[in-house]
Amino acid sequence: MRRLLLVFISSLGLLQAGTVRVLTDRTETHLEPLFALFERNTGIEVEAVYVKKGMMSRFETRPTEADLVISKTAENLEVARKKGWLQPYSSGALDQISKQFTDPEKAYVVTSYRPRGFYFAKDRVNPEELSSYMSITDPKWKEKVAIRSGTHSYNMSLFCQMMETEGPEKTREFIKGLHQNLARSPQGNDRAQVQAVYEKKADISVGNSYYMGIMMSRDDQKAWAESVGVVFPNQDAKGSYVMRSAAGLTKANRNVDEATKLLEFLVSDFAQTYFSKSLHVYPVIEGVELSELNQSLAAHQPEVEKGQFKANMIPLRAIDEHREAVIEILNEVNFDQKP
Amino acid sequence: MPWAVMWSQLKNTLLVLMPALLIALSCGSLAAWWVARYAFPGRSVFSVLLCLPFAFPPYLLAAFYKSIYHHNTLPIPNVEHPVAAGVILGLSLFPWVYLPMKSQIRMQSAAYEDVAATLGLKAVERFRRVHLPLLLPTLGLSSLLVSMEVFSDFGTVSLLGVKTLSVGIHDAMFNMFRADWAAQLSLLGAALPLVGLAAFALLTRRKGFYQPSNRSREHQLTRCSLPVQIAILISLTLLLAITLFYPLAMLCRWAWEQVKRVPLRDLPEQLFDSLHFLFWCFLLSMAISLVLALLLRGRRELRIWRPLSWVLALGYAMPAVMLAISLLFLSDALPEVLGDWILSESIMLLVLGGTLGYACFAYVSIQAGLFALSPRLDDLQRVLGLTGMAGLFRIRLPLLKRSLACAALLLLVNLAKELPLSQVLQPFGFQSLSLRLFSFAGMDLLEESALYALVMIGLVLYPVSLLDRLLDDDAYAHD
Repeated sequence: MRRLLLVFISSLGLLQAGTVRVLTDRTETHLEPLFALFERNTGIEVEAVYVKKGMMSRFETRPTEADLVISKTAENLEVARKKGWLQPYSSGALDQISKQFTDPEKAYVVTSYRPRGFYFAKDRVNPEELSSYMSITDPKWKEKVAIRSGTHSYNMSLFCQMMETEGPEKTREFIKGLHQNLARSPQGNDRAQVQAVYEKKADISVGNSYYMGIMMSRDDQKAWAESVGVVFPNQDAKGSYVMRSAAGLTKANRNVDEATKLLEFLVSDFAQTYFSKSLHVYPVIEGVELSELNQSLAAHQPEVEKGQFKANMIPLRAIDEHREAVIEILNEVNFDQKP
Repeated sequence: MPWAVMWSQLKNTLLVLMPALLIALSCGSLAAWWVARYAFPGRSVFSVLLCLPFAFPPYLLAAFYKSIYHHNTLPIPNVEHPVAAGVILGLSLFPWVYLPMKSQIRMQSAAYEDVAATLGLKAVERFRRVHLPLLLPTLGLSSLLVSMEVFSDFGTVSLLGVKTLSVGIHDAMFNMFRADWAAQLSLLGAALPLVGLAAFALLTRRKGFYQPSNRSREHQLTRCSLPVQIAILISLTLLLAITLFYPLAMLCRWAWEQVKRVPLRDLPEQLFDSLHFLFWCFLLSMAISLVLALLLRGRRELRIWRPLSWVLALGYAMPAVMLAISLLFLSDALPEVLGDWILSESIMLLVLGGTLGYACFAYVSIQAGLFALSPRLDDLQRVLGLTGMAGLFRIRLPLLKRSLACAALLLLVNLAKELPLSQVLQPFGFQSLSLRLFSFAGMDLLEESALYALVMIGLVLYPVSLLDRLLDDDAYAHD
C-alpha cells in the first residue's frame, strides 16, 4: 500500500528547486516568449499557471503558492496589497522606475499601460465630437455605442477611475447615459465591439487602444481595424483613463531573489520593447520607442503627438474603494441588458 | 443580488435552454427512431456516426460557427444571441438523447406493436399510446441531462456573449468579488433542473413504466418507400454535416496548415498532461463509484453510505466553477504545506474536482447494472461458497462488465473535454489540451487551435463509438 502511495505521489510531480513560480491572469502566448528568454539569460526556470478566471480566488486561498503574481489589471494587485498577500521588493533597478508606476510601499510595479478610449467608424463619425468620455452619453448617439460587459475588469476600472476624478453623480450620469446609448446588450471582447462598428451595428465602441495593433496583425480582423479610428478622450482636460498591468512579489520566501530578477526583467529595456512593439501597449520606462502603429494612433487629435497622449494616472489605491458603488450603479441600470 | 439582474440572466438561460432542449430532443429522438426502426442505405454507418458529435466540445462548435458568421464563409444568422446559442448547444448535445433513446427503442418488444395493431390502432395512435409512454422515462432523463449540461455550460455562452446564470456566476465571483451573489446564482441554476425533474415525476406518477422482463421479440426493421428513405438520408446527412463533417473537415485543413507552419513543440506535453489528469480521475471515479454502488446494494446497515451518493449528485449538479472555488477554500483549511502540495505541486485537487464533478455518470451506470442483476445471485454465491471478495470478482464483476465499460466510457468522454475545473485548479506547469484549445478559441484564433482540437476529439472518438456499440449490445442483451 505504501509503495502504491509513493508511486502515486511521484507520478503527480513535484516542484523543482530554484524555479520561479508565476500566478497570472494574462494570456500565455503573451508571456511565454519573455519567460523563455529570461530562462535562457539567467538559467532560472519559470513555471507559470495561467488562471484567466479565478486568479484572485486562488491567490486568496493559497497566497504563497507562487513567487510572483502578474495581472493584466493592476487593481487586482492593489486588492492583494491591501489584504497583505504581497511583500515589498528590494531592488535598485526597480527604484529607477517612475513613481507613478510603482506602489509607494513597493508592493508592486506597473509593467505597461494602455488607454481605454473610443473606436469610431471613420465613414460615419466626426472624431471631434468625441473629445470627452461624457460625449458618448449624448442622446445623438442613441443605439450607436458598443461596449463589453459592464462588470468586466476593464470597464470596472474605467468606472472606478471616473468615480475618483468626477465623483459619484457624474459617474452615475455617465453609466446611465452610456447604457441608454447602447446599440446592443454588452457582449464579446473589445475587438468584438470594433467588429460591430465595422458591421455597422454601432458607430462607436469603447476599448483599449492596443487591440488596434492586434487586429491589424491578423488577416481576418484587419478590415475591422481599417474601418475605425481611435480617439483618446479628455485630452484637453485631465487625460485619458488607462488600464495598467502590474506584477508583485507574493509573501512566499522560497525564491525571492529569483522572483525579483524576473520582476526586474519585466521592466527591462528588452521586455518593455517587447511589450511596446509586439503587444502595442505603452512602456513604463523612458527611451523605449512606441510601435509604429501606436505612433499613428489618434493622429487627428492635436494634443496627441506620435501616439503620445495625456494619461490620467490615478493612484491605484484610490480606485478600488469605488468598486461597490460602481457595482450598485451597474445593477441599478442592469447595464448588461440593452434598455 | 438585485432581482432585475438575476431575472435577466435567468431569462437568457431559459432562452438558451428552450431551443437547446427542442433541438436536442427532436434531432436525438428522430435520429434514434429512424436508425432503430427503419431500413435505409448506410443505416449501420449512420448508427455510429450519429454518436460522434459527442466528441465535440460544445464551445468548439460555438467558436467554429461564430467564425463562419463573422467571416461570411456561409450565410448563417447571427450566432451571438441566446436562441442561437441554444441551437448550437442543442446540436452539440443531441447525442445525449440519441444514444439512450436508440437503446431504449431497440429494447421494446415487437409484441406490443403487434397487439396494438391487432386492436386496430393506426400507426400514429400506436406511437402515441404504446411507444411514447414507454419512451417517456428515457426522454425525461435525456432532457434532464441536456438541461444540466446547458445550465453548467460556460464556454459556449461566454464565447457567444450571452449572459446566462453560469456567466453571471463567473462575473459575480471573479469580477465583482461577490461570493454571496455567485452562491445565489448557483443555487438558482441548480434548482431549475430539479424543478424540471420534480415536474416530470409529478406528471408521470402512477403511469407505470413497467418493462416486462420476460423475453421480448426484436423489431424487424421497417422497409420504407424510396422518398422516405431519401428524406431520412438527407436529414441525417445534414445533421451530421452541421455537427461533424464540416467542422471536422475545416479543423483538419487548419491543422494541416498549422503543422506545415509551426513545429508541434508543446503538443506532446499537453497531451501528456491531459492523459495524466484523465488517468487518475478515471481511476478514482471508477473505484469510488463501484465501491459505493456495491455498498448501497449490499446489507441494510451499509446504507449509511448513501449521503456519499448525494455528494456525487451534488458535484454534478453544482456549476463546475463553484465546485472549483469550493475546493480551493477547502484546501485553505488544510495545513499550508499540504494545501500547497495538493493544489500547486500536484494534480490532486484537480483530480478530486474531476471525480466529484463527473463520478456521478459512473455511479449511475454501475448502479443501473447492479439493479439489473437478479437478487438470487446472493443465494447462488452462498451455494457456491463464493462470499466476499471472491464472489465479487468471480460472479458480480463479470456480470457487471457491460455497465462498467459504459461507466468508463462516459467518464472518459466527459473528462477529456473538461474545462472549467482545470481553469481554476490547474497546478503549475499544467497545460491540458482543453485549456490550450479554449485559450485560442477565446482569442478567436480558431485556426491555431485546430490541431489541439483534433487531438482532443481523436482521444474521444473511439470511446464514443465503443459506447454506441455497448448500448446497442445492451439492447440486444435484453432479448
